[in-house]
Amino acid sequence: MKNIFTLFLLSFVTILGAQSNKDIEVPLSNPGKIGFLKTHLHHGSIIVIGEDRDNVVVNYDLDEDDNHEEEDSRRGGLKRVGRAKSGIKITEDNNIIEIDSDSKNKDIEITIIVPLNFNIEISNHNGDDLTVENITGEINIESHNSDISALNISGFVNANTYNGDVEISFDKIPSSKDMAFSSYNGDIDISLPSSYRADFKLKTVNGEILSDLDIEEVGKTPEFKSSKKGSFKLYTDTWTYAKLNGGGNEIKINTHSGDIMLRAK
Amino acid sequence: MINKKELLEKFNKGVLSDTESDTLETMFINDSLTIDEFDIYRNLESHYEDEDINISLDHKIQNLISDEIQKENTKQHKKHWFTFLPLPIKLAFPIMLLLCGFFAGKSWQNTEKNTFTGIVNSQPGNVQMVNDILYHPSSSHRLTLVNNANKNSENQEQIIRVLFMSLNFDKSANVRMAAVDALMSHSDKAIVREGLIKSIGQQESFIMKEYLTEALNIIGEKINTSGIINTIDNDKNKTFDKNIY
Repeated sequence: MKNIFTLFLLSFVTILGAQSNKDIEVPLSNPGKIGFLKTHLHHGSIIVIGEDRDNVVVNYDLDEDDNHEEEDSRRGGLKRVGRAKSGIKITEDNNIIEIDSDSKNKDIEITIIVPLNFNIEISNHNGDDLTVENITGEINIESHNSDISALNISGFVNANTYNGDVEISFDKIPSSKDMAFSSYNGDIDISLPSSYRADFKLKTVNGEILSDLDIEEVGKTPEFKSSKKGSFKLYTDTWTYAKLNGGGNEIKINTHSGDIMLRAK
Repeated sequence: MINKKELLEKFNKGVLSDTESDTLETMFINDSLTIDEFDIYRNLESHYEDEDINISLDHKIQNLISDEIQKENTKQHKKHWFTFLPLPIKLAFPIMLLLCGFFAGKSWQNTEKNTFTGIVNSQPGNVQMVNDILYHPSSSHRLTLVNNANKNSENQEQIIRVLFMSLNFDKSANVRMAAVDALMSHSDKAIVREGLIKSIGQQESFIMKEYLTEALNIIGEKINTSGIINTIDNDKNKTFDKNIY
């Protein structure tokens, strides 16, 4: 029932043709309780920073580039009245904040300041970086052509990009869930508390695995499968398996062209 | 002689015996059974067709209403008993029809959705796990469940179906990759190998296409010409989607 009432608190902000660098304060329906931020941009960067506060502040910068400034005889003598504009949409419902943009080809930079306890799900296709800092919660970051960084995190992170580096730094990790970090063309650099117990599953095709953690490599025998017709199939596993402090939840790290770095924090 | 339909029904319910499972596998290898006959992919396609169902439903409701209005007009000429009814009752009639159409449509839509999830929910003990793998908001939670899916040794068919749904629908690429890893443990089954090949066409993410191709390479499955053609055909029909990781 409570959710029905909070529906009335729905905050819906639409900014079309908005100007650059605006701060928008978004109140939470249940201040003090954990929230959930979902943001997707097709083209742009997203920075999420945790602070000791009860509401969310969204700052956006719609990049107004001058790509059409080149000489064109038909433009001579004409004064610019306007240009193609991008818009963003922000909604809040029951502590779930969604930020979306209709822009497919203009670069947008969004900085979101959230309370410290927040779950984050951000993604883009192209853009500079996807960055999350100082958050306690669960974080899922997905990209195609961007670097990913999540620093000073207490919680769980899952990160995936195709062309870009992944850098994650944990302050604390609860021991109940698995995590995975993957890239195709990029390094993956993970810093985690040296006392954390984990089972690592690591793979790089063109790169090295480096660490200053006290991890113990576990040799895995090749998988062996036999069929019922009498023939058999054998393949060797190309993953590297390792344990930290005797093992625990799985951390899977996978890159095709890049190094994997595991650091003690 | 074991009936093919009966075997498929048992597969969907996850109650195949070892002998029946072998028979199904043999039929699949001998091409007397195609992957499209399995609910995993039939439901997958119906999932994509949900919008069409809604559109056709809208048309049906519209047609229903316009038919009623037409009948109404015809009846008016004949001075039907309805014309002598008071105006509020006359108005209530089409509204009632509209409401009936709405609820009928809604229940129809629910039935469609239920067939998609109902199959995997056939075992009450696993309902929570299946729902969590498919719908839990935390990607770490879904990842953990997919990584541990094979620890449940009972009802392998159900596990395979859920893993395929996760592989084809989960929005997190890491969860989809975990589903590939988990499915590789069942790569001795032809339906799994065929499903992995078909899934390449479902994926819009390059990293997933690479991962699946590598997985198929490891399990030694050669993608045949028809497999490649199907993959290309699936790609051709894809509309642009914003989630391309």
